[in-house]
Amino acid sequence: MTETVVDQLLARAAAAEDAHKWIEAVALYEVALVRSPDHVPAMLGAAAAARANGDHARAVVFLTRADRTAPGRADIAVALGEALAATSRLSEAAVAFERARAAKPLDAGLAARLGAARLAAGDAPGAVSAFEAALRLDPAEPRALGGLGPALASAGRPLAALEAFRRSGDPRPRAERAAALLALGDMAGGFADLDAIAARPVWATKLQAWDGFPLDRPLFVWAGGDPLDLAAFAPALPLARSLVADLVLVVPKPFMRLASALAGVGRVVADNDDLGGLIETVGAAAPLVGLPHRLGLTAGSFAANAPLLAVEPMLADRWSARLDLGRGRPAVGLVWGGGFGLADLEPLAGIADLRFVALERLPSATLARSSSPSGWEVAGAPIRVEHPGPDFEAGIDARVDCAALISRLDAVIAVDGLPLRLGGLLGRPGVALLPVATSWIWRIEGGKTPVYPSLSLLRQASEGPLAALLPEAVQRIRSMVHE
Amino acid sequence: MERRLNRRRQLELKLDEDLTIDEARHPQASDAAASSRRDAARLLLARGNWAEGFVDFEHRPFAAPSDRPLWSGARLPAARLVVLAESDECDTLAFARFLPDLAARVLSLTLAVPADEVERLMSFAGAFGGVPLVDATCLPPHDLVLPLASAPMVLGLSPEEVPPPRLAQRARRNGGAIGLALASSPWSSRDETAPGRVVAALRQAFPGQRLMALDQAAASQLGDKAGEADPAALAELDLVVATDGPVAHAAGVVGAPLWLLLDDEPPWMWGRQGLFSRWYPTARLFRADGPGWLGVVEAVAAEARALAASGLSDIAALDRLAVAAEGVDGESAARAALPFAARLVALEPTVPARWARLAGLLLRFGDVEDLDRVLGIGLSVGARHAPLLLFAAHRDLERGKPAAALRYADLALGADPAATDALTIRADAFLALGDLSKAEFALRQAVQAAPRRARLLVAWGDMLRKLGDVRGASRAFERAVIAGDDADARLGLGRLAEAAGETGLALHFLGSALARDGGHTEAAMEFARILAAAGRNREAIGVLRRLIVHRPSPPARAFLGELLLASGDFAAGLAEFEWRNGEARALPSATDLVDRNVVLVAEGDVGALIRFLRFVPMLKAAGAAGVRLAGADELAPILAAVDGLDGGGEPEEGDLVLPMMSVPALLGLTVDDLSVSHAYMRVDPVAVTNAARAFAHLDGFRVGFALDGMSAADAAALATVSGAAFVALDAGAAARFHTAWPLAVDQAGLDRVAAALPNLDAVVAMASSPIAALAGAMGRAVFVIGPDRDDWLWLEKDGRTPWFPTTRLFRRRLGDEKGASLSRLTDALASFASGDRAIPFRVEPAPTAMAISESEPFASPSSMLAQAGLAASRSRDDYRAALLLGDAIAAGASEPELRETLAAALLRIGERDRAGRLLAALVAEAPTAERLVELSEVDRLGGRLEEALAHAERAVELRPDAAGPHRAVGKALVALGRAREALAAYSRALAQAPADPELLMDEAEALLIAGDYKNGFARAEVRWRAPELLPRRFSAPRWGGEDIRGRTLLVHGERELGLDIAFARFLPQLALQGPRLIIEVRPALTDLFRRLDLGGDVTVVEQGRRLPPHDLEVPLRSLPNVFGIERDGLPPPARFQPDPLRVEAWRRQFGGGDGRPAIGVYWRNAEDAALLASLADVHDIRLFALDRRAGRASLAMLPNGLGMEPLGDRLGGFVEMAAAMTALDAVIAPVSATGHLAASLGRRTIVVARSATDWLWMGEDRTPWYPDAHLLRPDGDLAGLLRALVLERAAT
Repeated sequence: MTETVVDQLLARAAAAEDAHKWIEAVALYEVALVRSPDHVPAMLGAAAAARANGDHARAVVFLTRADRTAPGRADIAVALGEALAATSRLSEAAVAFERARAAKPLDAGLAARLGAARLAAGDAPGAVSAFEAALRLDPAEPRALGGLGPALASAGRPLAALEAFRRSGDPRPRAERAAALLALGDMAGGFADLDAIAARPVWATKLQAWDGFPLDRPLFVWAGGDPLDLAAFAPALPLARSLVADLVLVVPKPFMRLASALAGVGRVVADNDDLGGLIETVGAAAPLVGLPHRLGLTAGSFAANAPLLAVEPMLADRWSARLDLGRGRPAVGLVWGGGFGLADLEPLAGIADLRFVALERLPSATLARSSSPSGWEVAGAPIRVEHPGPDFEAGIDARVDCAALISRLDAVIAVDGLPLRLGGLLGRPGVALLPVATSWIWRIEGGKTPVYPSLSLLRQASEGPLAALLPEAVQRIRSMVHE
Repeated sequence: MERRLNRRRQLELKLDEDLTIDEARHPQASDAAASSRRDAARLLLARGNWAEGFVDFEHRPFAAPSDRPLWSGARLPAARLVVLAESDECDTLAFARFLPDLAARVLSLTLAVPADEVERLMSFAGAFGGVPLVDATCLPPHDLVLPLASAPMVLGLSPEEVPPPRLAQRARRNGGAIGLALASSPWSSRDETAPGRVVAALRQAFPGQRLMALDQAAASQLGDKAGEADPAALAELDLVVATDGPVAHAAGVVGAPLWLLLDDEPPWMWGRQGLFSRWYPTARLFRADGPGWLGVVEAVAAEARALAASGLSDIAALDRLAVAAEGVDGESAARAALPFAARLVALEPTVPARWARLAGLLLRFGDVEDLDRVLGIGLSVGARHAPLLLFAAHRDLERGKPAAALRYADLALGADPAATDALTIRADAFLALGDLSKAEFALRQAVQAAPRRARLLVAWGDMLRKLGDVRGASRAFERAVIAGDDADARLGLGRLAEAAGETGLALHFLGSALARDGGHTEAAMEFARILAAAGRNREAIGVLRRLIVHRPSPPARAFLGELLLASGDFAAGLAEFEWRNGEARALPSATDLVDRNVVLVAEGDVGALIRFLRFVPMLKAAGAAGVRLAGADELAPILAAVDGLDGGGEPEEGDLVLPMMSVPALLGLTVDDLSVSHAYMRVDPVAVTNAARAFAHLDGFRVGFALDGMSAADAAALATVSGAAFVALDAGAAARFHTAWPLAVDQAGLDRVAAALPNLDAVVAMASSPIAALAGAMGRAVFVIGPDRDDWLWLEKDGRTPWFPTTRLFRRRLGDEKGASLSRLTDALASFASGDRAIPFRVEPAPTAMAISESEPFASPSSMLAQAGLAASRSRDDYRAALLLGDAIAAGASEPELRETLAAALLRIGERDRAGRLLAALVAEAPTAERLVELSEVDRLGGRLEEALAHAERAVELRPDAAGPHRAVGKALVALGRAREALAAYSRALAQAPADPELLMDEAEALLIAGDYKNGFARAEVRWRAPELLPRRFSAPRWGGEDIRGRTLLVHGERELGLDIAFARFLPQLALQGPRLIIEVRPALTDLFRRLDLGGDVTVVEQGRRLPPHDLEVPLRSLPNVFGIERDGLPPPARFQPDPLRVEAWRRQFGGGDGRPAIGVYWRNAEDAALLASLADVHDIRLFALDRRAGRASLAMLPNGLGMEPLGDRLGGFVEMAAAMTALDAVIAPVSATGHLAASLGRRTIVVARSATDWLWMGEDRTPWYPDAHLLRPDGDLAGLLRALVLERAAT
């Protein structure tokens, strides 16, 4: 009897699915599950319907239940992994795929899926091993072929990555391939890829693409949404400017103020403004990330003779006064967010000859009143890290305060991020704390980069936390500020 | 070939065993195949391929009247051979010439002929060389047989080795008749007789000549009876006109002039072409130029017409007409002269000169085969005839056989060692053999033989230049210009000046060469090249345009094209440039490209190739289906990445093959179409990545260098670029920049360079480097050094080139300091490195102010030449000074100083007349003492003694306080025979310059002439201080006349051999004083001095050898001074004693039987030889040339009619000469060592002394130095004097 009812429910659910009535289908499956709580097909059906309806979280619930009910079933684990990935629970997804793979170790597709999941979860070495396993099982596994390159690139193995890209037979430019080429020093190839994949706004299609030749009219350069790119490619702006009548930079509105202070920029326009009138006056256009390619730059082409970024003196004065800079102990800007936690600042404890100033924009909840000149410090830190105050970086214009403050600080210790790059653009001394795999601008080895010659680079050892670099960073800072 | 050998071997084997008939040799039935093979064999024989032709020809049917085997030609000294005439294969008379050679190989040889032929042939017995003739029906006993036509085969001859016919030359009698034989050839398959119109043609041309029929065909034409063609009848005839047949051969064999008419298929012995034949030297062949007898009558008629004027046998008239026609240049003149030359050869076939003339004509119109025949015949009658040998040498040289040419030239030199033609051919041959120094030596000898022949001097100069002797070459060219101002010499000077970096002079020389010969291609090309290199493109274009008007040639037009292109005139330039491959190809039109597979053939260097690849897409756009590139293997690795190119290919793969550089012309491009705004060459990305990894460690702005061909100094200037990382892209850069990262240890391939380029920020490259073009084509920033001239492959303007948009050029500009262009480059590079990316695109016009101020960088030509001339004069480079100053004055320089210097230089190089004219003009303008003194010198040397004295005296009036004028007066007076007055003049001069050694020498000479030997010889001791005698240092003291008994005295000779011989007379007196003597003389004299019986201890040593120990030294010529000799106390001449046996041998030779006196004659040059003319009238003497160095060398200099017998090499050294002289009845010699020797020997000697003021040879008729010798002045009566001597002898 029960069986019959359940079967009827499942049949109706299937009919609802056929009619794309997903919610109804899920409800019917749920009813069936109420009747027969261990009915795995019903769980799977419900999950499928939920996913079809876009409700991945609900699917996860059904699949978790199915997985628990019928453990060791690879298909359930795969489905769970997919659903978890769809809900951005990437690490859990990877675990799910690992379980699926354990159940079906000879399934190349599964191994590739695992690789993709690990890659998405940020486990590049794991992704590499999974893809490689997949390719051992099936050398033509498409997902593994396509994924190995990016995985290797992310794992900091650009040469192997390039080899993988070449083997995949896919000539299309990709960000990962660009990164690998740039990391290897092949600027010509990397910049060409970056240029090719750059997003192209609609208005730009109406303009002639700039060929890098002299132009007697203004050049439009558009920056993408990533402020890190803005900082990384800013050195190409004055080079481009030397060839054209004027350079108009198109940026997201929050960065307008910062961008207008970049060297070589004649005028800044917000990307959501109406460009209609301006376009008439312009000779050609190029994406910011495409400039190095159009200019034919190499790693040796960046030679900043002057600071690439100017700060607003009033702002600088304001923050300098606030923090009482320029007197007493040298003040060192600190940026840790995205690299390590506050607690990892422990190695800096006991340093008395330097002041540390947080360059992070922090919610006021994490700030504490303090006896420091600004009256604020970062709460809960193992050492005293001063802060300019809650109104730091408060306006709509991003990072203007940060740039101004850096220009008055004696040095910066920072993980890779906009503050560090601003320090580089400003030509301020500083130490970059870099992870194993990092942006092309930092190259793969060496203590210097031609893009930001004032920065000293510290690279994370292959094992060991980023924060372990702090003592060495302080040593370098001391030698910089005491010079 | 092999078959024949096999057969021979088989035959020989059989001969050893048993003498039986070779069955294989006599095929019983000849089928059609065999017959056609025989025809093929005859064809081969006719083509001259006897070796192969005889293989099958030997299989001809041959009915032997004997059962004996065939002879192979092997030497069989015991065999008796019968040669069987083949009246159906060949003419017996013609082949008779081989019989003596055959007979020499066997015991006996008999020629068997048909019975009815015996009588006729017997009348030509001489032609058979003594071989007996028998009737073929009754053969004598014999072991072997040979068909006559096989004779050349068994002798292994080739057509070039056919010997001349045996019969000696005929006794020619002008019978005034022409013999005619017009039957068809019995050896031909045809049976048409020759057309009878020949008769009419001959009648018309030679109306006075009787026509005589020699065969039935002719008889029926003439309506006459046929005469017999026996030797006697043939000797009566002026000419035999015959078809190939017995009559023709009879005429040929007896050497009668023969016009042989041949139809279009003549028997093989006549070959396929040619006017002459080795078979008969007197034959002139008329061949049909079409089927049957086509054209033969016309040719005969033309020849007859040509000879109508002169007549057939008037040698003088023929000679005159030949000379007249020969004198005109060109091929047609040579052809016009040919009938006369051919006729002369037929009339006098044993005179080599006739053959030489004919050979010369044939050479002129390039008939090589006949030339070979004519030279072969000519050399067989005159194997040492120099002109023939030279023609043969010339021919072999032209055919690329320098070794053979050398042999002929050496033979010619054997006849005349100073023959300049032979020497030049020898030089050419050595040059072709690659032995430059021997070639140079030959030319040097030629120049010595003819020192004023400009052509030889130029050739010598060119050779010296090739050998790297710049100074010698320059001197040779200068002498050539002085001797005969010609364009070649000036071209040579221009090249030397250019190589030495003297552009101004080079342009002057080349310009003046062109002024002398506007059509001189080489000079014009060189001129244009240097002008273009000096940035004077417009003038260079003008030069080439003028040249092309005079003498268009593809290289000149192509060069003009390049220059026009470089000037931006593409329309005209491309048209001319199409001549670069030797011809202007007709280009297809652009529409022809549609759907064609085009193969471009690479041209030019890699750089040019890379440039032209840009046009590939345009070809595609014009419709070409595919475009491939052939002949660019070095580019193969990077061709894949060229826009539109479908890779490499071969010309045969294409429907349309185009030379690469013709594409712009084909597409009708202009300068504006050159630029391609994007990079059109790409590189494999993998290679770029690999290169990038290799460069990853380089910090800083990356600069690649391609500096092949750059000087080290320029490279140093580049090193000043700071803060950059350098990469060496080629070997030149790697060698000059040790700090640069070398792309490869060895020469990097272009593909590696191409992969490196995207990783470099800038490239600095020489304009000539292909890397400059490659980087430009790839769109990289390039800083180009150069180009050093306007070049259409750059088209530089204001530092930019339309070829490559990202390239900037840094050329040396007018008025630039050295290195200025490079410092502009380094500045630009620094700006580029610091971020100004517009630098490579920047236009940099030359500063206008500078351009104007520097627009006249060269001084005016005349002053430049004057400066150079004065500098040459200061360094005693007189030829150069004379040349340059002459040019300067011709160019308008008029300073008197220049003309004075020029006159002095001209005097020093012996150009007395020019110097005299110049000085006379200068004196007329403004007489100065110096000018008058020089003019006096010129006049004195030119024999105008009174004028010389007058000028000198005028100089004294102007400058009585200077030594020079007084000295000039003295010299003039000496020349006038007024030695006493001269002494007064010299003493006035010495009052002004008491220590001038030359003046003192002049005074010594005057004293000797005046007979004051004591003072004269004392004063002559000053000669060691005069500049022309190098002082010698001796460790022993000078002997001054003190007692030398028992001591060792070194007596050393001086420069002039003759004076050493004359002064040897003082040695006996010296020997009497009892010293041990060491006599040191020049090598030529040592043997002679050893034949001097001085008694006592005498050693003769060669000058230049190590000297034995000695106590004292004295010059031989100082002995009269030591002894205090006076003129009256001269001892008799030294008694050199020739070997009596040799004297006897010479006496026998000169005796010669007829008892005529033997006179030895010596002459050095044409001037000496001219004085001998009067001897031609003295008939009852024999003349022997005593020229021991040159053998018959200078016989050609002798006046006509002198029967001079050369003694040549037999004369040996002076000792042998002395023996010969002793055996002669008299000797005639100019003042020379030979003259001294003859006079010393006490022979009857006539010394021709030009100057009456030579202190040794002065006097009316006799000199106290040689009482037996007769002096004769050039105007004296040599014949009379000799007759007197001969009579004197007859009387005694």
